[in-house]
Formats: sequence, C-alpha cells, structure tokens
Amino acid sequence: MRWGMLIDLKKCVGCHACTVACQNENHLPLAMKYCKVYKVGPEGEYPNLTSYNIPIACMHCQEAPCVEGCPSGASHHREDGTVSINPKKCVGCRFCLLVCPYGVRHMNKETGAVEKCTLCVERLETGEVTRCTETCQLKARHVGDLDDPDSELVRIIHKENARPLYEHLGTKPSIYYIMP
Amino acid sequence: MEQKQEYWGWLATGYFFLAAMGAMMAAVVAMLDVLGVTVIDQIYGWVSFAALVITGCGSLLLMVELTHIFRAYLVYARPKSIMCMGSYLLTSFLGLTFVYTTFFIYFVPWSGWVLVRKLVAVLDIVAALGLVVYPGLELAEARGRSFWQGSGLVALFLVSATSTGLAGVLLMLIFFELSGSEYLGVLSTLLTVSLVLQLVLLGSYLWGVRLNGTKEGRQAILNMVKGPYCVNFWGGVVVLGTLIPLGLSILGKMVPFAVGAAALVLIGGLFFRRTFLQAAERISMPGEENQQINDQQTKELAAALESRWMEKARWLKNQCS
Amino acid sequence: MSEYKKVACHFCHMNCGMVAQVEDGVITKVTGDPEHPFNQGAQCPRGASALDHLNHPNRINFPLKRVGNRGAGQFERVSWEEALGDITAKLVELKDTYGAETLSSLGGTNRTDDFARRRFFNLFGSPNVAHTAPVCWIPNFLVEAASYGWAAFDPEIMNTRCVVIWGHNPATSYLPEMRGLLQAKENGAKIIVIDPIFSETAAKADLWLPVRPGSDNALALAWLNVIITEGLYDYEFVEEWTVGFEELSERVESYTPEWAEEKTGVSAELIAQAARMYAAAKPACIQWGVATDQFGRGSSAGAQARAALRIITGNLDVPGGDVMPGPHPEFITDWEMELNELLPESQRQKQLGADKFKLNTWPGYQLLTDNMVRVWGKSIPAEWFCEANAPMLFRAMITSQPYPVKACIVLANNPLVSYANSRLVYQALKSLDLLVVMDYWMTPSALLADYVLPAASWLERPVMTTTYGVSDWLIASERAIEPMFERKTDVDFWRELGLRLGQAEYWPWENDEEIFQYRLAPIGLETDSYEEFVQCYRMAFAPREYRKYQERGVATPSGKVELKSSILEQLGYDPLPHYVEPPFGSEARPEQAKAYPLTLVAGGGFMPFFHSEHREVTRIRLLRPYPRVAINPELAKKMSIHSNEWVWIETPTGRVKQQAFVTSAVAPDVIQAERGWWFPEKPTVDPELMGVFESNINVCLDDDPDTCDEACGSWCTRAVMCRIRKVGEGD
Ligand code: SF4
Ligand code: SF4
Ligand code: SF4
Repeated sequence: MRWGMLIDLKKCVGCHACTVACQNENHLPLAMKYCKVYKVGPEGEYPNLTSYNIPIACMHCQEAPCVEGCPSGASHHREDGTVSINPKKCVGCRFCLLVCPYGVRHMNKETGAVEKCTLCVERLETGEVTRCTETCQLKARHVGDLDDPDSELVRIIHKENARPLYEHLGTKPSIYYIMP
Repeated sequence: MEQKQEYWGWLATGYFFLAAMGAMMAAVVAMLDVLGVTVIDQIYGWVSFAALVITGCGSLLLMVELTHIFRAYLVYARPKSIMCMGSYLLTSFLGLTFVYTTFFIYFVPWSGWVLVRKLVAVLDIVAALGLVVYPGLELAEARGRSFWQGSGLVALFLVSATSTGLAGVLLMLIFFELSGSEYLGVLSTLLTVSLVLQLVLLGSYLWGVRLNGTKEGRQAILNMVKGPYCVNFWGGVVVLGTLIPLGLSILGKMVPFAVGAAALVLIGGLFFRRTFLQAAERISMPGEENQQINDQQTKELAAALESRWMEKARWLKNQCS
Repeated sequence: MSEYKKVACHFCHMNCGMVAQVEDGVITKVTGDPEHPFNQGAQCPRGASALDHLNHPNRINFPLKRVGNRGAGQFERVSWEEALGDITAKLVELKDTYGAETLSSLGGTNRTDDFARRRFFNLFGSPNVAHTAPVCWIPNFLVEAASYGWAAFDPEIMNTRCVVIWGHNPATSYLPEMRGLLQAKENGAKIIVIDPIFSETAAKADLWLPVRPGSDNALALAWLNVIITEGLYDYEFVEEWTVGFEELSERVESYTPEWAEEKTGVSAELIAQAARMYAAAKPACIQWGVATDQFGRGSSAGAQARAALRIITGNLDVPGGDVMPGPHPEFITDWEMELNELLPESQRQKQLGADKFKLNTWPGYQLLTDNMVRVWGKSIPAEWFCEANAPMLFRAMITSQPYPVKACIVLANNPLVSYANSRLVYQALKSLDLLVVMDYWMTPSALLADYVLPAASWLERPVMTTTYGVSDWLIASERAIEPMFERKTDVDFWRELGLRLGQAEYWPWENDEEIFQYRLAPIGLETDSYEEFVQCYRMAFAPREYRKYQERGVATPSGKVELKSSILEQLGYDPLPHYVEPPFGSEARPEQAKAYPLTLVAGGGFMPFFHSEHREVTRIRLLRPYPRVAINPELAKKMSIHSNEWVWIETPTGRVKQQAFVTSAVAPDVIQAERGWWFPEKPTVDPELMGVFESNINVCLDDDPDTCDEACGSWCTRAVMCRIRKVGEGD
C-alpha cells in the first residue's frame, strides 16, 4: 500500500482553491500554505506562447531527505507510504526545512513544530479523497494506491506517462504530474 | 525568494563557527601533546579548557535555536541521521575535552598519568576532526541546494576550521605571554600555510560549482560574488578573513601582527560560515519566481490586515452603541 | 447533532451547490455538494472561504443611519423599524415633489432576487432601475432575441465538435464551465479562443486568435464573409428558416479576411482557417461571454454578427449546438413576478435613456415581449433586460436633466467601483437627497449613504437559481441558518418597504421561502414546503427539446430567424451586421493617438475575486494582494519598469496606479488593468473612501453616452487609448 497522487497540469487552471480549502481543513494560520500553486510562463513571445500552472505540496518522497535527516524521528514514513511528522517529537531544528528540495515544509510558530501536507490520510482512511482533490473544480487531481497496478491512478499514470517533479534529485516522490 | 536559505541563521552560523574553532584548538594542542612537544605544555590545559568553553557556548547556541529545548534529548534519537551523528560527535568531543583538561589540574589524582592522557588526546583528535568535518556532510544532504554539493566542501570546512583553531591557539599563546616561544613562529607559519590552502580551496570550490553546478548552484555563487552577500564574502571572507591576515603573517612574526592576523582569521571564519549557509539557494519550483509577494511579506500583510479588520470592527461597533 | 443543509453559493453566477454542516444553529463546515450538477462537490477558493465571509468581523450587522456629514463615516445604529420608517417618509416626500421616477436603484450581480426589486419599483411607479447590465451579456442576449426570439446561451459543449470562446475566460471566472470545456476537448471538440490576452483559457485552446482589443466585430464580419463566400453555410436551414440572407451576403462582401487583418492584427490566413474550422465542425457552438458587450459603440453590431454566425452555420437549437432554452413552461418565472403591467405607459416613457438606447429599454423590450409571449407564452424579465441607462442616470442625478433623480437604493452593488467614470459616479451619489445602501460590507459607496442596511448572505438565505430568469430550469437551495444579527434578505427589504408604502396586497408572502414555494407550485410536485422541495427534488429541468422553432415558430415579427432584424430596424438601427470603429481607439480619435500610444483593456475577471468583492476576506486577499496591470516585457524594458513596481495608468479621463505584472500574455502595445479594486483596509473617510480612486480602473474610463453602444448604451471598457509611466518618488 502506498498512497500517491496525480495532478493533471493540462487541467489545472491555478485557481488556488486547493490552497485555501487545505488551509481551512487543517486550520492553518492565514499565511501558511501546505499547497502552493505557481503559474509558469507565459513563455515565448506574443503571440507564440505557452503557459501552465503547477500545484506543489509535499511529494511524499520514498527516499525522503527530510526523514533521513530528522534527528528525532519526528519525520517518518507511515506504513501507507506517506511521510508524516509527529509534532510531539519535533525538536524544531529545522534541518528538514533545509534539506527538503521542494520547499514544502513550514515551521508553525504557534506549535513550534514543523508541518506540511499530510495527504489527508485520515480522510483517505475513511474512504474520502483528499480535501484538495475534493475541491478541485477542474478535477485535476486523483488519489489512489500506487502499489496497486489495477488502480485508476496507476492506469492513468501509465497512459499519460505521468512523472514526478525533479526526478533527478532521486527522492522518489509519490506525487505524479501529467505535464501540459 | 523562498529558495533562499533562511532557516539556519546566525545561531547556526555561530554554532558551526565556535564548534570548529574549539575543536581545532583542542586538536592542535592534543596533537602537539601526542607528538611530545613540551615547551608550551603549561598552556595545554588552558587551551583545552578554552576549547571546552568555546564549543560549549556553540552548543548552547544550537540549543537556543531549537523550538523545543526540553525535548533536546531527542536529537540523539536517530543515530542514522547525520544531525544525530553530529550530536554524538559534539557530546563525545565535549566529554573527551573535559577529561583531557582534567589531566592538567594538579590536585587531580590522575594528573600524572601521561599515557592515559595521550590516549585521551588521540580520541579527542578523532572526535574533533569528526566535529569539524560533519557539517560539510550535513549540508550536502540538501539535495535541492546544489551549492553545498560540490566536491571539497568537507576539505574546505576542515581547512577553515584549522585556520580558526590555529588562530585561537596563537591568541592564547600571546595571552599567556609566551610570545617569545619559538612555537609562536611555528604556529604562525602553520597559519600562513592553512590560509593559503584555504584560499586555493575556496577558489577551486567556487570554480567547481560554477563549472559543474546547476542553475541554483551558480545562482548561489552569483549571490556571493555580486549579489546580496558580496560584502560579507569579499570583505569578510576574502579580504579581512584571508588576504590581510595572510599578509600580516607573512610580514612578520611580531606580536601585534600575529594578534591582528589571528583576530581577523576568526572574523573570516565566522563570515565564511555565514555566507556559505546563506548563499545556498534551493532549486526553484517551476514558476516560483512569479509570486506577487513572498512568504514573509504574506505573513506581514496577513497580520496587518487582520489587525485592521479588528480596528474597523471596533469602529463599526462604536457606531452601534 | 449535525444537520446538513443544501445551500447554494452566491459568490458568483455559477451558484455552485454546497452542503453546510450545522451544529446547534452554528455552521461548522461548508463543502461542495457532490450531487450538484455544476460543481459536483468542488469549490473555488471563494466558495471554500464561505465561513470567513459569513463570520467576518467587518460585516454590517445592524441598520446604520448617517449622523455626520455625508462621507464622514459617522453613523449610529437604528432599528429596522426606524430605518424603514425614515426611508418611507423620505420616499413619499420626494415622490410628491418630483414624481415617482425620482427614485432609482442600482444593483449588482446575483446576490439578490431582483424580481422583488422590480415588483417594488413597478408598484412605486419608477422605471429607473439599473444594473451593469449593458456591459454584462444583455446586449448579446437582446440582439439574439431580436434575431431568433431568445438567446441561444446554453451550448451543448459535451456533444459538440468545436467550441468558440469569444471574450470569455472561464478558467478564471466560472470554473465548472471550464471543467466542461476541458471535458469537451477530451471528447474531441476543437477549442477556439478569441481574446487579445493569452488568457488561462487561451492557454488550453487548440487555436487562439490574438485579436487587437476591440476588433472582435471585424473578426466576426470576416468570418461571415469567409463562410458565405466559400459556401460553408447551412443551405437548407438558411433557405427554410431565415429571412435576410441576401442582404447579409451583400453586406459582408467587403469584409474580407484581408480587410479584417488590418483591423485585428491577425493574419487573413488565420482568420479564414479559424472560420473554416468553426463552419466545418458540425455541430459547433459559440459560448456566452461578456467582453464583447464592453466595446461601447459597436457592441451590439458585433453581437449581430455573432448571432448571424450561429444562424448560418445551422447550429441554432440543434444537439451539440447553440441551444436556445426558452422559459420554463411551468414554474412562475421572474418575469411573471415583476408586475410590469402595473407600470403605466406614461412612466415607461420616462425611463432614462429610453429615447436613445432603445433595445434594452421599454421601446425594444415591449417589441421583444410581444413576440416572446406569442411564441413562448412568457417573456424575459424587465430586470436586466429593460433598464434605465446608468450613464444617463448619473447625469440626471447631477444635473436634474431631464428631471431630478433625488433618491437611489443601492443593493448588492458598489457603484463607485463598478461603473465607468468613477469620479462622475461619485459626484452623482453625492448629489442625492436619499441614498440607501444594503450590503454585506461598508463599501466606499456605502460610506456615502444615509442608511446602510445589513444584508444576509447565501448561507443565511434560500437561493433559487434561474440564470436571471431566462433559463428553462431551476435549482433550489435552502438557508443553512436564519440570518445572523439583524441581517435581512433583499426580499424582506423590498417587501417591508412595500408594506409601508401601501403595497400590502401585492406582498402576501411572509418570507423568501413562501414566495419560492408559490413559484414552484405549478410544477405540481405537491411538496408541503420549499425546504421539502430542496431536500427531495432540488431541481426542475424542462425536458430538452431541439429545433423548437419547427413546432413553435420563431419569436420574431416574421416568425422566421431574422438575419436582417426587423425589430432593430423598427427601433431605428441598422438591421444588419456592420463595422463600427471602437470609440476610444486610434481609428476614431487619431488626434489623441500620439499622446496615448497604448491600448488599455480594463476588464476581465480574475481569481480569486468576483468583481469588486472579497477584498476583505484575508485568506482570499493574500492570494492577490495588490492590483496588477499586465505589461509586455518589451514595453516594460523600454520604460524601465520592473515587476511589482507601481505604475500610473493614464487616459484623458483619469489616472490610477497598479503594480506592474510583466508578462508576455499581452501584446507590446496593450496593457490589461485589473478591475474592481478598492482597499477596505484604507481610511474610511471622504474623499479617500478606502482608496476608491487609487487603483480602480473605472476612474480612467469615460461613459459619455455618445460613446456608448447605440442600441444598449454599453460603455466602453476595452480598447481605450492610454499611456503609462512609473510612479516616481512622491507622486
Ligand atoms: S483546485 Fe485544481 S485547478 Fe485549482 S489550483 Fe488546485 S489543482 Fe489547480
Ligand atoms: S517533499 Fe520534502 S517534506 Fe515531502 S517527503 Fe519529500 S523531502 Fe520530505
Ligand atoms: S465558482 Fe466559486 S464563487 Fe462561483 S458559485 Fe462556484 S464556488 Fe461559488
């Protein structure tokens, strides 16, 4: 079992609904975003242009620098493959913020612990989709089990040749993107 | 913006600097001790005591940096992580240096056990080298910050630490008015060599990253040589921290020169760590540069808006009373 | 215990269905309703922030009465009783002195049930209700209605081969629509986007036509030319069901792609290629959009050309084409609720603008209604489709010409930000004897009011979605909670004001639900309450029928689809598509072109805001904190402007500043400024009025009636000559 997600950049319009819905779901401080969305481009010269949007949150790396680097064991892999942080163990050394190549971790000043996207595991466990998937008007997101070759998720990943972001870093992310 | 390294600031810089300086001070005397150089042995105890205090201060900075000091013991929890390994190295170094220092207290029963002392000295050297070397390995863990992944980062840290350690010992010699001893000359020669080496390694490190590095690696170098950190880099690291002390140490072995050189080397060591920590940009996410405001500005705006809404709420309420 | 209420979002027209979780009368969570056909469980960022909006500390919660000078920001809380009593007394006095037409109303889009407003106004006797309708779909709708008896605004994009998106950017405005579009694309439909800006929607298109701002009309004419000269039109349909094809062919003969190339900046080849793509696809459709209503003069001429395109390609009311819904046959529509018949002819004639802009005022509306009633049995509502012309209304407020307009009730609208020529609007509002504003917030316009009344938002009111009363379906949603504090719905407001003015017999219902229940009754579902309908049925869609003209005929005077519109002709307008030069372009004003070398596009919705709303919802605001003007890198370089630097935007009418957004999405000689900007955090006193003149692009737009669309009075927000410069120290 390994939870994973697929984000279809052909569909995403960069509306930030996922950003906001996630903030509400997780009761985040106003300025803290587990999921950011960047607009790429337009690249080229008017009128020969291309542009797309890309949401970025924790990639739930299998070879996670944050987990490897965490001295206290607060950052860890769950059995379902997601990377999780135990706030009771976090000492606040911020080493994980330094080593995460995707820049998706945040120090929550209120709790003194580091936080990031949880892939809504509590929701996944009750059969719901993640909040960002639910709220996406464009249906650009899919969640599922990457270990199950018959899952809808794996099927689309193969069909669309979806790839993780910055594979060359070798972190083996569990988030895949359909490139535009 | 967010690619900048803003997570480890002055506290971490201070820790790396003090730990390196303390460790190499201790290593220098331990080495001399093991080699049987006895002329200045009256200050071995004092130097290693100073190393203990300096490194101790460094580790305090490290503790202060944690958000949960009372859980600090958890930094020993996962020996597999490099940071945890660093904690063990630090602790062993502090312990060994403490023990080593006690050999120089005359009323301590074991103060005469020379062989044991030398054995402790050897262990201390190992711990000190480890302590000096691991930050380079630690930073190299950041896969998205390719500036730290050039080959030779470890060597660079080692050489810089050696310079600061030598500078520390030099200052102690002078403090104890041993400036007449021939070792002042030896140490300052060593310092000269170390500084030359430092200059060469620094240059080749930056060249290496420039040639083989990624976009963000090259950006880090630009930040250092032309960008926001160029004053620290050129002024602090290169000129004040290396070239002037090099000149001074070549010029003469006189006390004022030596004091000046040593003090500048320390400043240089501090700036070296500061710029190297700061400059390492993270690989940027596609489109990340297009944000209208960065995280810090977002935080400030959020706070400003919220407090303004409260003010307006009071205004609206006053109309209603 | 948790209750789940089926509510509908009012933050934009989409009215996405939501589920509100209510615990002991407090809403704890609002999520998308998975059973709702539009959003299918999703929410945009506004919808996802519903609770921030509901519980915001700056919401207006009690009626306020002005105590200091107008604009001084001094109010005192009064009871509803007192506020309504005062307003009634003042209205009676003004009506006695100046006549009923002295009362006007300005409305916003879709937070309200505007049949109630019109019912009140008809009973009161004033024809002077206005919205931003002339720049928001109404010209397109009415021109279509004049050509074929209703608008074909329900394109079946799921079954189509080609979708034309004309001056519309659903990727930043109506996301459920965008989802449909991308699905259509997956189904194999070709997407053509016509937009001077490389919009988020254009980025996903198969073909993007980067027209020069304001030149859409020329493009449409050239498409007609290509399709007719190359014989790509639907012979059979044209032959059997249309009149005026000969005249049309003759008319468009000179509008060749080469002619259009010069106007649009798009190569003749690409124009022809796109026209062929559209005409060859069977079926194809042109989606609704509002940018084409915002050209000022020539807006409805452009709409005529697009209507003709839909007709001659044979896409009218066919599966996968431009489906023309018509009114719902059963439930009581907005039109039926308005009591237009009670407004005397003498008062109709006084409608401001009716003598100049005749299509969307009583003269045109009457003609259209006669035809629609003949064919459909019902007409379109007078709200939106038959209104006073706002630029004329503001001028009447200031000059008392042709007669004094002394009172205005503003509901769900912030006219200082949403109408062109903001400084004139300001002058107009300040000339009034009575200004009442009902809103969620203390807006700049509300600051000028004599009474500010607290409005209930969508979680506190039932919502019935009927697309301004012109769809053949409805979706019903309930309230999650009773209005908080002393907030009220607009229906409550109009009713209670009506009761005080002797309209009691026309307001037999106690609340919104009773009215909605009354309106639903003819469907015959025998539900005991409105809530029961919501819980059990929620929707009523008329059975989909195509080619309804075959059985019903066409709601035009000729009974045919009119390529040459007899209604327009009768009103004194050119009945055929024709070219009109954009009123603020270099073609029309060559003498200004030198001083103002750039072209301003002052419109376009953008996430996460809806018009001038949501600036005070912190979470939303942080996504787009400051106004941005899009500038091409080449231009930015020339003027040494960097991203996020403040830039003055100047036209002969005014200047405002916005932050530079350097992007190649705009052409080097075009800039696009964001609209709707004011700053709720800024000082609340006149004349600063929360920065309403600082970045609000409407300050730069002229609404001189002579530059407005001939038939509908639309003012120009696109293709306006302008210049920019960097904001310097101290200016
Ligand atoms: S909600 Fe969907 S479309 Fe919007 S930004 Fe997120 S992933 Fe993209
Ligand atoms: S994206 Fe960052 S935080 Fe998430 S698992 Fe990978 S390294 Fe850790
Ligand atoms: S698109 Fe957003 S604002 Fe519009 S109705 Fe849907 S959730 Fe509400």
